[in-house]
Amino acid sequence: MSIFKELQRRWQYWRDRSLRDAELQEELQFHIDHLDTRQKRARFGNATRFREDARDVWISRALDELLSDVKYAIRGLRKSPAFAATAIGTLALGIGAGTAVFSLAQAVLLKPLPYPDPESLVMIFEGNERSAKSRTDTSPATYRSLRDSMRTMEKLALFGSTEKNLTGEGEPERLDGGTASANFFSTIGVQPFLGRLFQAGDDEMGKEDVVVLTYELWERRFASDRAIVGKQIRLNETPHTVIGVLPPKFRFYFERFELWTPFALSPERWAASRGARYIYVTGRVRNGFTMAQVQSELDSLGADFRRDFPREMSASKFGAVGLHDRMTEDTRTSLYFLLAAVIALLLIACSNVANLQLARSVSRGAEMAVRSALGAGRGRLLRQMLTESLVISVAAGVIGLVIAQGAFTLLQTLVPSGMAANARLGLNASTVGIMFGLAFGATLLSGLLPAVRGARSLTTRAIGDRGQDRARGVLIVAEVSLAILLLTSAALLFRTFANLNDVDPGFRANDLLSAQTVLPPVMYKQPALRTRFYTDVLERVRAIPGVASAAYTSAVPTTWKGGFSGYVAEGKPFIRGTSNAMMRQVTSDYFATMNIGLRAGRVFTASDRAGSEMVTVVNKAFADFVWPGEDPIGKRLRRGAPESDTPWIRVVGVVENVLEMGLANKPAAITYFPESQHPAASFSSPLYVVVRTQGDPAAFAPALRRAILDVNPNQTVAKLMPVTQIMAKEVEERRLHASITVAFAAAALLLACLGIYGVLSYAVAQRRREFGVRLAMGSSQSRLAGLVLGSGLRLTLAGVVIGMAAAWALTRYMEALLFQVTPHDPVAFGIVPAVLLVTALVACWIPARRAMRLDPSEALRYD
Amino acid sequence: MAQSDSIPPGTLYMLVLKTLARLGPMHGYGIALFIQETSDGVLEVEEGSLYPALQRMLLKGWVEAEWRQTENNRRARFYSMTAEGRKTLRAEVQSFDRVNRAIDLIIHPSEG
Repeated sequence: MSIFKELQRRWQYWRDRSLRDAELQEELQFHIDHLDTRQKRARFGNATRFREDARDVWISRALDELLSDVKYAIRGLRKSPAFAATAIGTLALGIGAGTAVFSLAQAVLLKPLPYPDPESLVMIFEGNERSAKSRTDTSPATYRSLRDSMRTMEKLALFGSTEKNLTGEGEPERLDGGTASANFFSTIGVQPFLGRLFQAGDDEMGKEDVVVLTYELWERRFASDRAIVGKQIRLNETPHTVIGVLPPKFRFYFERFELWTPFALSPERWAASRGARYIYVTGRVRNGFTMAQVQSELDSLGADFRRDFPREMSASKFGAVGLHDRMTEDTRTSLYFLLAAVIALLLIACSNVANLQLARSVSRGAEMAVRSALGAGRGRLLRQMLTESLVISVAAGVIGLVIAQGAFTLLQTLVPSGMAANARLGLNASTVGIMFGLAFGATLLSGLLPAVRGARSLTTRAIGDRGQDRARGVLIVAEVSLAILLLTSAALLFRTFANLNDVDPGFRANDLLSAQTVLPPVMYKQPALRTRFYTDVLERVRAIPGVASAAYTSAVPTTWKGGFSGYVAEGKPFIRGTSNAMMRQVTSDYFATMNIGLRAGRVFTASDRAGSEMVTVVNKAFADFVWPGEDPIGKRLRRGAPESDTPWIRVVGVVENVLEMGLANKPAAITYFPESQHPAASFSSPLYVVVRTQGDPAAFAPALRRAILDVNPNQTVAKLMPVTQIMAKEVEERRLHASITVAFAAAALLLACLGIYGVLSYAVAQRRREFGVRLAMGSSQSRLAGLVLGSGLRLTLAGVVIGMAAAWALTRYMEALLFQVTPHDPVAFGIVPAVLLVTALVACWIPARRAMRLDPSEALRYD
Repeated sequence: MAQSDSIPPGTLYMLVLKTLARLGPMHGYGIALFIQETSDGVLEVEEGSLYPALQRMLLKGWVEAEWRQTENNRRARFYSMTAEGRKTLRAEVQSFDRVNRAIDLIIHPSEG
């Protein structure tokens, strides 16, 4: 098609315009140099104009023509406002949703991470041999070994999380912080906003009491005090010197870190840390090495580790993943799905508008014929019709931006944590660029077929030919099948969401309030003080009117998907890697407060004290795994690895499973221990207070805070909220998937039905005379209605069949997004075609009824 | 800008194409010179119309351009005809002949 080649050449010219301009100048100079003096004088001063004239061929004239086409198109659209409104509205829906989802994908998948040379940043994980995909943290000692031996990595830094109580000026506050090796910031390549970042030596024992603030914390808590560097702040009741402030929006891997402290351990603890996996390793691939080479070095190092440290690392296996890949890997499936869904919606919108334009081009046949007779070439007419599509698409795009703007807040939730600060969705250059891209795509998709057909029917003068009807029929079938595809995925995701909502978490989340109180180790060195704190707080909380019961626990379910540790069950083989259970320390009222069902034995009582027999309560998953078919009550187990000399602990009870790992995951094996028998600070020491209330738990929040501050006015109280709110976060993403897809599907259904309605109404109008004749020949009105209905339903059915087949083939790619629903869920596959057929029937019925009401005499006179 | 006895509108493309067909690849000055010389100095092609015309022909895809050295070692843009251009030339010449004959019939009516 020469018009496209021409557009392409114009585009190329525009792209290289400064070069082309220089070429023209040189060419003209060459010409003038060959002229004699008389000729030269005649042309004096004209060279610039010649050049401009030549350049105008490419740009100005094209622009002029485009402008006049645009003016003409706008005039045409204003003459048929119903058509314009429907087409623009339809496309606005598609382009708006498309802009939102494509912007999300661009921000997450394409936008590079905000560090220098982000491609060379990788994360190194220690997994285990059983599953290559499992990625756990690694240990400080292993980090050191990797740092010292890896040749394919240029820099290797360690980082982890820490929590700090910030006290001193203002309210005491609980902050999430990062802790990192001294080379961490230089590995990432970030420069300080104020002061300095970590440097060699900061992570040595005794020098580690320094802190780097994030820009946001500095702004929020220290009122952007530029003199902050060198000042001291109290973290966990220890003075720390502020050495620097990070640039705005600096985040790494975790979104929540508000400050960074050096990672320091005593030499003994470094040496003993081999089995304690709680830190992350990141680094830069050495120039010239590939990820495959990094991985193969890790494979061989892994073999060394397994040989050298059989006790701690017998099953270790290492993996390297690009930082960006790692950060986006959980979101990628959702994103691909949303992209597919929004493309389907956009295609439906385009084919609907194509359909509208086909109908319109028929009614505009006369106008086109006149223009053609007046000398407009086919190419010119084609371009004019395409320009009209372009005007529609761009208008729709601008409205679409408003729709996208509304969707951004919703979609922001899907930006992976760790990227959110730098991937704020909103109106910006790239969003507008994406909108225009989609608008141009929509122009071609919705405008090309009508334009080509319009221009052809003009030359053949075969207006309203059968080919036209067939094209419209094909579009309807395509629309219906795409709508089926969207409806099916919506149904599957909706069922997933409903299933998740129905999952019994193993406890009653309603009327439950929780808060996190972290005890700074400096102040609670003596174990008895911790127990004392818990007892005092609980006593005060229980005294609040309307509180039924209260307890302390390591973590509210789902807030800590970790805390696994080894155990040895008496008389059972110890299998490294599988003899792992969650450790939870609770006070005696925990099970009653949470409403966790007791299956056998007893729960803890006040008589399970320090000094009495050590006891544990295990969950059903643990009992089934360790003692299948046996009665676990009275059996004994020990915490830690076989070679440790921890005391034996007796199982006194079995409780129902609590879904600590999240609602969509299998219940983990859990062992509960009474806090009073393990008073020394450990990773599973109680952190959260849970309160069973009578009535709205949120109403008890102030009283709970007061009760805690009564015990210690410097105590931080964080994450104070009803437990239902915590659980809602668990289903948040699925709820979002379901609601977005349901919205898409509803729009698709509406558009497909509009399409069917449009085609049939048009056919009825067109066949008015034929129907009149049929009526006059004695055909009954209901038979005519049946005729119309039948032709609509035939198209719908074809679309349904194709759509169902496509859905059947494609839904399996969504499997990762589903929960307790198979991709071929009979309910979804049963309901969807029914819903579509019923709606389509309504869309067919209205034009059919119109056919039925035809008055034969009038119909024949018409036109 | 246009000279009084310049080339009839619309025929410049045909003249340029024909020139390229005769000469092979040639720069703008050479084309202008050839048309002027071959028409015994009657048809003078101004840069003001030649270069826009050449650009338009590039746009239409009738000619292609390439920078080359001339005999006296200067850089110049050489134009050559494409297959598309050849087709256009044929069509243009045919229609030109037809119109010419028609005009001729009117202007010089044959008496027989």
